[in-house]
Amino acid sequence: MNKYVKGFFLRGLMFGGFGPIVVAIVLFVISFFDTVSLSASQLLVAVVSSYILAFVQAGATVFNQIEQWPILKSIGVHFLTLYIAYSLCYTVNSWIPFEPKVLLIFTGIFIAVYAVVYITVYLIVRSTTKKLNKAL
Amino acid sequence: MEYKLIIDEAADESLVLTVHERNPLVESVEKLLNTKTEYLTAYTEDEVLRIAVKDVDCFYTDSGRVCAIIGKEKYTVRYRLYALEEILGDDFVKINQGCIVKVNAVKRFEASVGGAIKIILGNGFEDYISRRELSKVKRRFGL
Repeated sequence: MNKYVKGFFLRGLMFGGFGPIVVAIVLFVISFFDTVSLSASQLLVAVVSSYILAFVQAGATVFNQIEQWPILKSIGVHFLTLYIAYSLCYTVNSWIPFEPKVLLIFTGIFIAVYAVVYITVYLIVRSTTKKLNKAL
Repeated sequence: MEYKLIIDEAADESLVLTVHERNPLVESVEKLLNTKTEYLTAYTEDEVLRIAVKDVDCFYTDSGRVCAIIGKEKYTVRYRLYALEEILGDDFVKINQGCIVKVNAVKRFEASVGGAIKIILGNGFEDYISRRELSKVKRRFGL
């Protein structure tokens, strides 16, 4: 098996379990402000989909380590993978309605958050680079 | 392979290996004795020569071959990169799966738009530091 595919599944398996835990915490917090009622099937969908979401999110970090890929390709594939995983998870759980206007807003927010995370990572890398140059 | 052990308290201690070519045994013995390889056999299209390790700026893999760069010159060496990593010592650092650079040959580092760190050598050679090797590189530069 390709080592990157193996890496994807290993990371996914390692961190996938955090998905349902996060969902449980969010529902717990919401319960302080509103009534939370989920049917058994809704609960099952929430647990399974959040597990898959966390699995994919953790596994997708391997894209940044495929040295043969140009950086833009790594970012593009990483972004698309997360976007598809999040969109499916949110719509399947009815956390957002399946309407064009809502999906558009969701996409905008997703891009903004991704950009913030990306810029933060870039600033950290730039800071590391400055330190390395000083150490030369 | 013939093996002889001579215990002679009066003689100077020495270990001599006679082999047909460099092999894992040689590397293991060198590692055990903590000796550094000073010269490597290198190849160009026309000639075979010995290059001094201290002159090499970096080693990298190119189409399955391991190349040594000295200034603007490129040579092929018949070593695997992992074997070189073991015998080169602290003067060199691995920056990604396919490249080992000499620490003193590094001119500067650059942050790339993609969030990776590019390493630029004095001879103009450029490559990216992989996230996997970044912590080792940082340690090697005292961070």
